[in-house]
This record gives sequence, structure tokens and C-alpha cells, in this order.
Amino acid sequence: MSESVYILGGGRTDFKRNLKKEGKTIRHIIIEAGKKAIDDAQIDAAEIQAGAVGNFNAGQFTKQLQLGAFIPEIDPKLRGIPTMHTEAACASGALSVLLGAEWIIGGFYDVVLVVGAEQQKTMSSLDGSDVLGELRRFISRNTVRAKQIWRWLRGKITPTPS
Amino acid sequence: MRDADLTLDCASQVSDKNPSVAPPLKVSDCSQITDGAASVVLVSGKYLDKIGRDKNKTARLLGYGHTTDYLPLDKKDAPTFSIARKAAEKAFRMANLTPRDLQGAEVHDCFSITEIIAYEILGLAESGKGVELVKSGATALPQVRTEKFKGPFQIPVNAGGGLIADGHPVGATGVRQVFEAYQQLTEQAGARQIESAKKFLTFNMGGSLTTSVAMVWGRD
Repeated sequence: MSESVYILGGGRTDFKRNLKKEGKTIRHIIIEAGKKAIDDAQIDAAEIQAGAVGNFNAGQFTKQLQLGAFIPEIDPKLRGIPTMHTEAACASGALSVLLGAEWIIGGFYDVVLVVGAEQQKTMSSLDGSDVLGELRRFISRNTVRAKQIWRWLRGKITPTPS
Repeated sequence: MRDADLTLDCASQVSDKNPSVAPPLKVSDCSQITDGAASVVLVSGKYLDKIGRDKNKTARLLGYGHTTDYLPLDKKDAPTFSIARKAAEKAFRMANLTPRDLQGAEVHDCFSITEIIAYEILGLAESGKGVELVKSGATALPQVRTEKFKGPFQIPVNAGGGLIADGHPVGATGVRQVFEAYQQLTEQAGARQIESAKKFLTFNMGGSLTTSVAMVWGRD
């Protein structure tokens, strides 16, 4: 590698949460996780030169896919920096890390913020099955069974917060 | 690490509490519908030198591999998954390391079988020997083992519970794995800390091994 890539800090949300029940959206957790990483890295937000956001299907789950738009909301000092969104199904997050890493390796930037996010508990079991089942429809001919799997997961094991 | 009331007995058999989803997979074999986000700040070595930060408090990307296969499962060479293997091989080659040099890993376990297949793809186990690796206890976190480990090679995998126990907010998962690598390598992982972790692997895949990304991280 022509330039070394280091992780200076990071953060995450508690994956038990149900954002809809909190009255929040994917926008809130992108902002929340972004702030955590900057705090943990102990740098001024003004040092960040670019942002990458990993997400699979916010377009269908939340009807908003321009997720780079939430980067400037993490800190006003981020307003104006270049941002990009990466998608590759369940590998969407790793691709955002790779995008950030390759920006640094390529010598484009020295400090990059990477956020991966998903809000899935926005819709009924049936509609949620459709969003996740979309991928399966291309993979498997047995779409009835595949749709049933996602319905089960949505209906049976999603924790019900008190 | 989550507090869970799921016992090994309950997870091993179909019951009212743990119904069958698609045989042989039960609910406890599947990751959950999840809301969540994860984040990292990546910086260049040049920037670290400029701000004078101690490199021991960071994790460095030692190597990575990224490949794309056909989307339909019947066009892939299951269970070998040679394209996914190429991602892992490339990551190890760039890092100049082998699986035996690792002290820990975060592996994509959207379903329990996916983790076992991943062991074989990543070279943690030989082809067809993924189940044996699990049964040997080699992938368990030493502090939660009930029996002394006698095998030649151990590598705690998914110390925080992975996608099944921790959650799988799809776009966040790959970043969460990398954040976990950072926490493990900088000894900030608390109860799930892998002792003396110096080299760590993350493996995130999408579309049933259509996109595969393996990354090897290390502490300088």
C-alpha cells in the first residue's frame, strides 16, 4: 500500500433499539454514530475531508437514499465535504470502509469519516419481507419459501421493546 | 455482549420457543431485523505522524481483498465459493500473513451455516471441516469456555455475538465488524476482549457471497 490506513476511532448504536418507536429515523443514527466516531478519534470535525456512508436499502425502508446528505448534520464543520454512498447488499458496510481506505491509499484524503447504517423496523412484516425478499427473488427460484423466511424473522424474533 | 436467555439445548432443537424457519434452520440460526449504525474515522499514516498520535492506540489495515461473483446461487460453485476465497487469499497475501497468524475474527454469520462456510472460505478450517472447528471449541472466547481447550490453534470468532446475537442492521454490519477489530486491537473490548489480539480478520459479504470483502487489521 502506497499510504498506510489507520483507524483512529469509532462508535456504534445499540442494535436492540427500535427507531420508529423512539420517533427517530436513519438520519438520527447516522448523526449519532458519526458524532461518536469523531469524539472517540479526539479530533476536530474540521479535520475530516470526506465521508462515506454504507447502506443497503434505505430507499425502500425509509424512502430516503441520499444518505451523504446527513453527514453535514453530524457537525456544521462537515458541510461542504465530498460524500458518497456504497451499496452491495449485506456487504454495503465493508464497501464504505474500503471506499474510505482506498481514498487514503490513493492519496486523495488523509482523514475520512465512514458510517454504516440501516433502519429496517419501519414497515409491516409483509412489506419488510418484500424488501429483503427482492434479493432472494434474483437468487432463488423458490421465492415462496424465501419470502416466508423473512416473514418469520420479522414476525417472530424482532424484540418488542417495552 | 448481550445477556441472552437462549441455552445451547434450546438452540439445538425445534420447539415452540425456537420454531423451524427453513429446515434445518431454526429461528436461533438466523440474524434479526435490526435498526443500527456504526462508524469509524480512517486516517493516513502521514496524518498520524502530523498529529503525533501513538500508533499503539490505533489499528492498521494490513491487507484486503474484494471480489464479486454472479448473483444467482446456482451459478456459484457452492460450497467451495472460489470467488469469495479469492477475496480472503488476496487479503492474506497483501498482509503477508496466514490464518494461523490471527488472534481473532469477525465473520459474517447472517445464518449459522454461513459462519461455518466462512471458516472454510477464509482458511480457518479445511474444506468440509468447518463443523469440526466449531466443535473443537477453537472459535470460542477463552474466558467463557467451560472446558480447557486442547487443540493446536484457536481463534475466537464473533466475540460479541456476531450478526445472530448482536444484530444485523444490513448497511452497518461491515462497519460494525471493523469497529470491533479496532476495539479488540486497542484493548477496548471489555468483557469480550481477546487477550493480546495483534492481528484480526473481518469478513463481510453480501448477496449470499456475491460481494465478498476480507480485511486484515493489526496493531503496530
